Amino acid sequence: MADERTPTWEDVARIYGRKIYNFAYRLTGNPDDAADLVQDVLLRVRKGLSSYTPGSFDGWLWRITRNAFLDGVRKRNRRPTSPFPDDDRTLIATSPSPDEVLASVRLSEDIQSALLKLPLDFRECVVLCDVVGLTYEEIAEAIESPVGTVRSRIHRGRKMLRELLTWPV
Amino acid sequence: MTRIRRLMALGAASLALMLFVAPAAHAADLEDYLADAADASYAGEQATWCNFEGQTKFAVVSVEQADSTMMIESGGSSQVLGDGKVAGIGSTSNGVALADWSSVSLADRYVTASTKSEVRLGRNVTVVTVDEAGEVRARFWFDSETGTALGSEVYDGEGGLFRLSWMLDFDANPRQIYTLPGAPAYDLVVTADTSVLPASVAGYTRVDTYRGPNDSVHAFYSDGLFSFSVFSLDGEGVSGPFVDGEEMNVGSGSYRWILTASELWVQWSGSGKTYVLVGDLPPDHLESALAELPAASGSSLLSRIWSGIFG
Amino acid sequence: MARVKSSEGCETAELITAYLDAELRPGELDVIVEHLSECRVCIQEFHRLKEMRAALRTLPYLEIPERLLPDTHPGEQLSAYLDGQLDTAEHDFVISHIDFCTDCRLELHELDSARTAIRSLPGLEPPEFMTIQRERVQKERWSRRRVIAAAVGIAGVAAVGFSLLSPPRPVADLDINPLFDQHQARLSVEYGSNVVPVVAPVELP
Repeated sequence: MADERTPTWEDVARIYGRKIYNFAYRLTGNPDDAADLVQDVLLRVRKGLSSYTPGSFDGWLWRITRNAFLDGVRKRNRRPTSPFPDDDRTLIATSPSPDEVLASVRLSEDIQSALLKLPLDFRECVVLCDVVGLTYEEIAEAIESPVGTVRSRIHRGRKMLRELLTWPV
Repeated sequence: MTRIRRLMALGAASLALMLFVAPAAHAADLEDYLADAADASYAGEQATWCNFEGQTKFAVVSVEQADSTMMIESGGSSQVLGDGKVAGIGSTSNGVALADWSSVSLADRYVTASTKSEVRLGRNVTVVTVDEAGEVRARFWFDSETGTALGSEVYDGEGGLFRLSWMLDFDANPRQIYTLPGAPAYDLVVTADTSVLPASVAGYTRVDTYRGPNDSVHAFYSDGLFSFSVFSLDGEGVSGPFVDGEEMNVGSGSYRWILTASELWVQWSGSGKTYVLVGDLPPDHLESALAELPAASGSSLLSRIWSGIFG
Repeated sequence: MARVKSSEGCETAELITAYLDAELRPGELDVIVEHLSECRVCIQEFHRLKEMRAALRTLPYLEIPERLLPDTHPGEQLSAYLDGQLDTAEHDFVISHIDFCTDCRLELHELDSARTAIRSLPGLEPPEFMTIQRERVQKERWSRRRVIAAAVGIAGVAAVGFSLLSPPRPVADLDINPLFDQHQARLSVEYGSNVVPVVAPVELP
């Protein structure tokens, strides 16, 4: 088989841009922050490509993306929200029955709001799995943690989301 | 000469047979299989064999396809194609990009005669047999998981095998194909019109017409299963690699041909024009097509003389 | 309404998630299947997690704002490109842009057709050759025509014996690789038996 070809940063933008944007948007809930992240990632890719050695390109890219996100978070001084206290009543209210929840038009907005209430490490694992579509192995590479940790965080993240979405006002 | 007569006799017999054969499944299934195969993701080595007029050609290529882009490597050179574009990797010349294209659906003469499950290369496949006029015309082995055509057979209209292809190895999870580093330049190919090349030929429809290289007109014909291009250039005579090609006669015209494992190339001249045909159509279809396309000059002797004078 | 009962107590709970994502390790499948046949709490959990996962995966997949993608569309540069009036850098930009941008490719095609139509009006220059070609090929074509014109004069006497019409012009020497490329470009969007890939031109003599 032909040897690995390194893409240009334009290739990365065209092929991965949309995924990176969605990752950033679902993590921040904010289109401007998401756009900033995409530009930041592309800039880092541009700088890093010359020293990139052929290996797992996806893993390299998602590590860059995640690091860029964390740096951005630190810079903007917006700390990820802590797990929601049990007795807080200002959670979003959706219809109680699971069927109605899924049929709800406001669902995506509600999910997005709930996502922002997850601890960051849960949130990024859930987004990398369900929005970006990476495997546990790929997520583990991106966040530089064991697969078991990935699985645990996705599990607890989704559970927490589910509980947030059925909590009535 | 005799091939055409044989073809007509076969056609008449097949017609009689067809009336007594129960109609088989609607050929729309085959279209779906072919469309899925074109969009499949896979990688592997592909062997192709073709037999025509006593000649046999065989070739093995490395193929990788993902997201409707295909990379083909053979004999040390590689090409990337997809979405109406083709470019050689590391080539100094430009690639080509089509401005536009249309499509045609599968011709009615093709009927899915049967489908069944098999295991090939350790994978579950669906074998689709395609009939034309009551006889087997083609067979495809479609991989159940990816949709790829792992193998195929095309028959020559007389019960003989014309072309055969098989994947020698198969990988259902190819690494992603990137666009070429430092994307190559492409020459744009615009559409054109022609009054010389017919709108339909031997059951094939002229789907698209383009301006071709060297001031030629490029007409693309398809019947949904097989296809061919005809390039029409100014001037007459045998030229380029066809000088070493084989000769054959269809009607009173003389044609030169070259066989590759995947395509047939035919060149002929007539009425101040030279034509080059290239395609994967079976031999009996080719003959019918040549009979309906602009005719070749009466005698090859005449064109040889002219070539001799003018070089 | 009561809060949903947590299945925190169950150790195998995480396996549910792995099962839903098809990420179970060898041997774990038996464990989870057996457990789900017994543990009512986990069965409930399974359904809830399945729904949540499905809901997450139906989140709209947003379009990336165009300004974030490299290169904006050429616009007026397309006309200048057709007139051969772009400098090298702009020229390369347009060419690599139409590589991936179908809209601009179509626009270029339309501009080219319009341009040719205008130029074929009487009194203007004769229709130009429509594909964007390099100058070198153009020059070759003209030189060949001159040679043919000269030859006709010499062979004119011999020609009379065969025909009263002027002899057919010999075809230029044929390089079929460009023909093959254009044929392949069209095949790349054709769903037919050529799902079997065609052999590269290097195979041709």
